[in-house]
This record gives sequence, C-alpha cells and structure tokens, in this order.
Amino acid sequence: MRQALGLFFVVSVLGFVSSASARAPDAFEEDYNAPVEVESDQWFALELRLGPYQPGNSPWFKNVFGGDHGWMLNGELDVTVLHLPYVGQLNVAGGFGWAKYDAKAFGSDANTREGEKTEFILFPLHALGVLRVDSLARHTVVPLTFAGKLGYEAVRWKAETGGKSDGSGFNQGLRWAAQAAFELDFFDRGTARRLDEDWGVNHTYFLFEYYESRTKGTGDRNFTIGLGAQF
Amino acid sequence: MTERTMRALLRSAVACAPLLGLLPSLAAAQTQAIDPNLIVKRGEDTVTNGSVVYANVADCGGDPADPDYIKTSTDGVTYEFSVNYNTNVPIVEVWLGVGDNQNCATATNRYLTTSTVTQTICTKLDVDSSNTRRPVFKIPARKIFNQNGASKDAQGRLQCDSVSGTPRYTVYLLSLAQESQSNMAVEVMPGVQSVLKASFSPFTKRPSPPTSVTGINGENRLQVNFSAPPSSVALTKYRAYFDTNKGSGGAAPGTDAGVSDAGDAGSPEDAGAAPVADAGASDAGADGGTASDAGTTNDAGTTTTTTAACGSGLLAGNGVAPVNAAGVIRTSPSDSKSAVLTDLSSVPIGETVAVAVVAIDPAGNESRLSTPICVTRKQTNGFIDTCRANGSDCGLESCSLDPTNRGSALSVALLALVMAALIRRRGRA
Repeated sequence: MRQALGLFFVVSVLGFVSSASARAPDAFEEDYNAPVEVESDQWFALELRLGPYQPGNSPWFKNVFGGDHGWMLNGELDVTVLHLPYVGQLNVAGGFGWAKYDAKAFGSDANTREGEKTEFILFPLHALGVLRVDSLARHTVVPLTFAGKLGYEAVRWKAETGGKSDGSGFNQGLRWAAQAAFELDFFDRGTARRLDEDWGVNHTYFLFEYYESRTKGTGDRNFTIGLGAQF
Repeated sequence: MTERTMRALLRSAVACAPLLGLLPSLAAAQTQAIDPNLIVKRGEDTVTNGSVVYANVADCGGDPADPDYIKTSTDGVTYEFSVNYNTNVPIVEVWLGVGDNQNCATATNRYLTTSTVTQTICTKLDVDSSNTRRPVFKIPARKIFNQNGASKDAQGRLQCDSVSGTPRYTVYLLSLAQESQSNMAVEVMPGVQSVLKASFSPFTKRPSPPTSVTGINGENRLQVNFSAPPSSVALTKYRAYFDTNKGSGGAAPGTDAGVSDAGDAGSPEDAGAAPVADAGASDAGADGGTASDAGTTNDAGTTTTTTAACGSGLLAGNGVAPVNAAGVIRTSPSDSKSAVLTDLSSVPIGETVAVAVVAIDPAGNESRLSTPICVTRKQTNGFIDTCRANGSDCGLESCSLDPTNRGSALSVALLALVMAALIRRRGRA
C-alpha cells in the first residue's frame, strides 16, 4: 500500500514537472510571431511648399511694394542616391518656385501713385544635396524627420510696368535649408499602409522649413510650410 | 391557264418587282416640288436652310431712334431666297410667322375661319419671283420685321419694329397643290406639298451703352474699366474708342485761367471770336489755342475749371461711334469689361485723350457711345525705375541669357547633367 502510494506520488510529481512535454503544442498560439511589414521601395520625395518671401532686403523694394510678401510657391523633387541604415537617406534635389509682387507705380514726383501697375516676378531654380534623417520615425514612436539642404540657386527675375518690360535677368548664389517634418502616417497607420500597397507612397508628411537664399538682390531668409510624400 | 402561261406570268412578276417597289418613291418624288435646299442671301452673307439669320440695325436701314435716321437711312438689306424646283414651276406662296405659335405650314395658322369671321394669323407676303425653275424671292428686311405692317417712318415707308432678340420671325415658302384663297374654309384648304423656311432673330434695336466707366492713367498703357448696361439682351462683346486727336481730352485742370490758357489743347482757329469768350472754364478743350489766343488776365474768367471739358471731339454727344475717323483708335471686340490702349506712339507724355465704350449685341449692333471720359498719359516709375532713380540696381543682375554672361547658365547646365547622371545610375542599380 505504501509502495503504491509512493509510486503514485512520484508519477504525479513527474507529471507536473514535465507538463509541457506531456501535451501536444498548440501550433498557432505558441509558434505565432508578429509579421514583419515590408515597405515598397523608396527612392523619391516630392514637396510642395508655400511661404512669405521678400527679396533683396532692399529699401527700394519696400518703398515700392510695401508689405507685399509674395507669397512664394515652391516645388521640389528629391532623388535618393544612398540609403543610410539607421539614419535616413542622402538625396539630390531639384526645385522650382514662383512669386509675384505688384503695386501701383509712382508718378513723376515719386510720392504719388498712379493707376498703372508695376510688377516684379521671381522664378527661383535650385539644385541641392539633402540629408534626411528619419531614424526617429522608423525606429521609435516619434513621427518626426529632419532634413538639411545645401546647394546652388539661380533666380530668374523680370520687372514690368503697365505691361511693358523694365528688365529681366538671373541672380545666383547659395541656398541652404533646415527642415522638420511630422509624418502623417502617425494618425492612421492602416491608411498609410494601404497607400503604400496601392500607390507606392511610403510616407506623407507635413513640413516646416527655414531657409535662406543667398542670391544678391533676390534673396531672403524666411520660413515655408507644406506637404511632402516619399515614394 | 396552262402551266407554261403561268410560268411566264411568274417570270414577269419577278422581273417587275424592283419597279413595283420604286413606284411609291416615284410618286413621292413627283410631290417634292421644291428641292429641300433653301439658300438665303443677306447682302454678302449666305446661310442655308434651317440656319438662323441674325438681323441687325443696318439690315433695317438704320436705327429709328437715331435723330439722323430719316436722313441717313436706306431701305436696308433685301434677303434673297433661292430655291430649286424639281419639276414644273409649282404654286409657291410666301408666308411670314412671328413667334413660335405661328407655324405657317399649318393651314389653321394661315386662315382661321370661325362662324363669324375669317382672319389670318400668319401674314402672306406679296413677293415677286421669276417664273423659272430656279427662282429668287427677294424680300426686304423691313417687310419681315414689321408685325401687321404698322411701323412706318416719317416718309410712310415700312420700318422695322424695334426689338432685341425676340420674337423670332420665320419666312415660309410653301408649295401648294393649288392657290389658296382668303375665303376658303379650313377644310378645303389646299395641301402643302413642300415647306422651306428660314428664321430670323432680329436685333433691330441698339443695346444700351456700358455704365460706370472709369479710366486709369499710365505711361505704357491707357486703360478704361466699365460695367455691363442693364439689358435683357445677352450682350456678347464690348469695345472702346480712344480719340487721340489733340484737344479731345480737353485741357489739364486749372489751365484755363489767364495766360495759362497758352498750351491748352486745340488749334488757333478753335480759340473763339472774342477774347472774353475765349477764356474761362467752358473754353477748355476745343477753345484752347496758342499763347496768342489765350487772351489777357482780364479774359481769364472768374472761375477756373476743376475738371477739363472732356470728350468734346468726335466721341461727344453719346452718338454712334465714328467709323474710320482719323485719330480714333478702337479696340477689338472682347468679353472683358476693360479695354487697354497700348499703342501710345501718337500720344505724348502729358496728353489727355477721350475714351468712350460701346456694347455689342449678338447681331453685331454697337450701342451708342457712353459718355466719354478722359485718361492721361503720365510718366510713371516702376520698381526698376525707382532703383535707378536712386542710383541703385537693387542688386539685380541683367539678363545673363545673352552671350556676354554665360557663366551662370553654364553652371545650371552642369548641375542638370550631374543630376541626370545620378538619376540614371540610380535607375541601373
């Protein structure tokens, strides 16, 4: 009797200790791993920006056009040349902008305004190198990316009064910019995922950029805001 | 009947079947007396059957509201309706219907007989034509746009009703089996074999001129803005008339008095008769003259004008716009409610010109001229002029697209090539 009880006790203990091997594994629940999301290839970025711009910092510009700040409409296409793991991308970018200023022209006494309109129009073109850092957005929950831009800018300008050209030309110089962007994927990951699957758009973002155009006569230091997409 | 006979009859029937099929068409062709191709000639213009002819004031020989109407008017346009008879010369009557309800192809609209009276709704036009198979019916515009023949001018001639767009007048050419009589009952009216018609949309009344006309002075252009007139007619275009003749814009304000009369716009012969009459406010403009015509201070009058006597020339009086007048430049018709004169070669700086505008309706009628205003060609300084006037170029470099400054253009080209190469390399990877 004592031996039977002892044997029962040993078997029970062994049964508890080896309970894991005592039943067949549940294949779905126990072997389940979270799926790895694979994004589509990302080689481009497109940005549309709008912001105030007063060229040249010239007293005569302010004298004629007063507080007219443009605004400057800008578009930029980035092409990724190098993916930097855990950092972001190294891009080359090309951009084009447009801004127009108009005011009533002065009369012969330079104090009174006549009805005729004088206009000043800018068409900036720039070619930049861009370093975009998106490690925060990729590897943490913080949906922020940052970019630094540096390159060359040429600004085509033309001026006219009463429909007649007063002159035109090209001013050139350096352009730099610092950008902070808030990824809109943050608000709806599912929609962002579908956008990637259906259209190849990896990420969309709202951007704020502070920049300077160091072109004499047409340059300015200002900010601009806009929307961008990486695809 | 033998079998042989029956076979012969059958063969004949088969041979004649195509002819039998054609018989109804031949019969129908016999009743198509008029080739359904009506050509209406309006002066030098030709329109085809079914088109709408726009008739304007000129078609009617002038605008009855024009004070010079009787003196200048002619009989206007005569429309020519050309038709082609397929067979013999049929009986053709010409009827006129006004509005959508007067379809003259319907017998009851031609003669309406009640128990007590026979009356016509459509109007039968008495039109001569040649008795040939290609006749031309000639109908003066005044005969068409004249309901019931009531409108007559001072000389007793028919004149057009003064209407704009509606109602629509339609001329019907009806070929009949026999001539209709005015006392025929509807039931025995002859049938209409063919109907040809042409509709006329009359704009025999000038539109109103534009309102709220304002001018913008300038050095490189003279501009005038205006508003559409209150009108039920859908106006299509506007145009402006700029009178660049000297004196049309009057003198500059305040120059009428005293010796400042010298240099007033105008020619010596405009100076007037007596020295007193030469000077003063009302003499601005056409009465201006040279210094010798200006009179003395005593002649200057007591009141200097604050506004110039504007538009005392060819555009004055709200009349009809002058045609081919020397010195008067008219702009092309446009939908825009502003007009610009950019050719200022005949307008020196400081010169004032008179401007008036007209509205144009779908038939091409121009309204009378609006009350003229004056615009002055004045020197202006734009942004670049302001920079230069202050000894600065505002940092703006002249156009480098010319050969003397290739540097920056070359830099742009090189950068573009580098970018293209990088993109291409990326594509290969």
